[in-house]
Amino acid sequence: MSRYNIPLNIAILLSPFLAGWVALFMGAYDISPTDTLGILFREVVPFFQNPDSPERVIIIDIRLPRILLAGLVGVALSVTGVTFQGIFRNPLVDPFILGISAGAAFGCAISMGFLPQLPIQIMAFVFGLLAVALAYMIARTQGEISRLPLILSGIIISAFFTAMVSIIKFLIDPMKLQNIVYWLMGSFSLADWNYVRIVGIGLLISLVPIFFMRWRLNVMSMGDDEARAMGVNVKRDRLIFIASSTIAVSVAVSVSGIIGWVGLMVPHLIRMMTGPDHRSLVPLSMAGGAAFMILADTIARNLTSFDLPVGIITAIIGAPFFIYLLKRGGRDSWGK
Amino acid sequence: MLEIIDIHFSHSGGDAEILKGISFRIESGNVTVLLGPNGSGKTTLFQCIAGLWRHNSGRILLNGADIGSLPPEKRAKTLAVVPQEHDPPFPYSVLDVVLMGRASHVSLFSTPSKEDYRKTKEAMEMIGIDHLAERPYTKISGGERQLVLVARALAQEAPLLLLDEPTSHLDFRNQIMILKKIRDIVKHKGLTALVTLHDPNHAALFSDHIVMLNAGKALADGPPNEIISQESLKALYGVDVDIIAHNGSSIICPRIQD
Repeated sequence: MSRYNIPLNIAILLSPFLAGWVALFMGAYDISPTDTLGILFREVVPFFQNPDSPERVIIIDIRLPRILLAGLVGVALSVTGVTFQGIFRNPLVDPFILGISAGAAFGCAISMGFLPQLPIQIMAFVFGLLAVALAYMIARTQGEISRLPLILSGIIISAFFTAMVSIIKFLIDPMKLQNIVYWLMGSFSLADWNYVRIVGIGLLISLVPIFFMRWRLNVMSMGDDEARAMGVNVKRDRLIFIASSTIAVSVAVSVSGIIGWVGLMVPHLIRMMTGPDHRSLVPLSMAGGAAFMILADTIARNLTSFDLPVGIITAIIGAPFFIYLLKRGGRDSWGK
Repeated sequence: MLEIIDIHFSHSGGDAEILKGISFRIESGNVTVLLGPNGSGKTTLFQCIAGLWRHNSGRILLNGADIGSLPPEKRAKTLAVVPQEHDPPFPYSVLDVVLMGRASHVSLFSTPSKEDYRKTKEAMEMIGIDHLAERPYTKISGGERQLVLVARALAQEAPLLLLDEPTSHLDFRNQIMILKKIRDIVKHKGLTALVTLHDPNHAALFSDHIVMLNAGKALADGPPNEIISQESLKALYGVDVDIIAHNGSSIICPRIQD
């Protein structure tokens, strides 16, 4: 593997734009690429007015925000996957390892089951953060936090909130149960410009520290003691990484439900293709995650006449692709 | 000069004291070897000096300044630790691993500069591993990996080097090679090195100074020819040995027949 395969890196960085472009004229309502381009052009360039046609509404108000939202959520899940794999020194860790997904699911279940006046998005966000904060506090022994207790307490918190969700599912009316189950599968069907704005701002704030500190992930992945001996303030830096990641994932989960697999797989794929150095891995995973999620969502919208939950699609296209890469790369693929 | 003054250590919650007042001093430009059986407190002392564990009392002075309570970044500029070679979770290139030694010189929100690369390459050339730069760290031999970790410590540019059993996973040839290299570099760059070793023969061959540690106490310290004796090794390891003089150095030969 060469150090910097520049054409490959550029291809990965451009992939979300290509995927987004293709996704824009894919859908139940047929709009040709030329018409799509015309609508976009008239929307963006001043002095041109778009007629208030159904085509305009579909492109500008339905497809475009949905594509952008999918891309942003893809960015959030892949970057936090990279971050957690780095700080926990384990390529099999995903963004949900500290219990965010179970916490968010609990928030969603409460909102749908008992407190409809509180929006699902806010409840999911708050309980996602709460779950991670609890896991972090449980892991703290004698003022120190180490890797293994943190993962274990994440598992404990996940199990606890999953059980609470099960109780709610068991008790509530089956119609509401259906809504909870659907929400948990993950979907972008509710996307609008307001969601895009919220997620965009949330990610901008939470991912900036990760992006600029990404080289430190190399050092931290060597282990706490070694990183400390090389001058890294492990306690502080890990807290920054975990807090930033948790906010990013909670924002993503609050608008799209729980979309599994992306945060585990995309970092892996990118690492196999371009190497483990986090200086390139972080930005390339952002691009790869966005492209993958846009693609998965496009399939979810177009495969059947229903809007399938995208979480199902990510698993269905992810698994065989992953198996292929593992078989091809052999042991190397696991990072050995 | 590194001064270890009356270091006491016990694990929080544990009542057994592991280090029971250890004191010794190391002159700059020397290779000092810590010898001691398993469980003697060697590693504990090592962790305390490296700042990874906090000693209960006592002081660690480098050129008169207490390094016991420095923040990580400043400590890393004072002393560099060479751990035992190991498998990292990701296959970083050798260059990227050595570059990590620059962490204390790279500010929190940035990435290594040209200057950091220059220092990294310098360290690799000095150790003679520049030809490995683009190889994955996971695909080179144990001896090469140990060299990479030494290069990483040099890139850190700290005057004090701590090496934790640098020979433990290496074959005979690589053991000699790494010890010779460490000694050469310490002398060449005027560094100070503290090395833990298991083999008293290696200690006798490569060190300027030996500290013998047993049951949390320093039994003796001094230059190898003064300190290595049948009695001291019997006291340290409980093993009977013969000491044979050869070409001005002494060879320690355990008695295996009763």
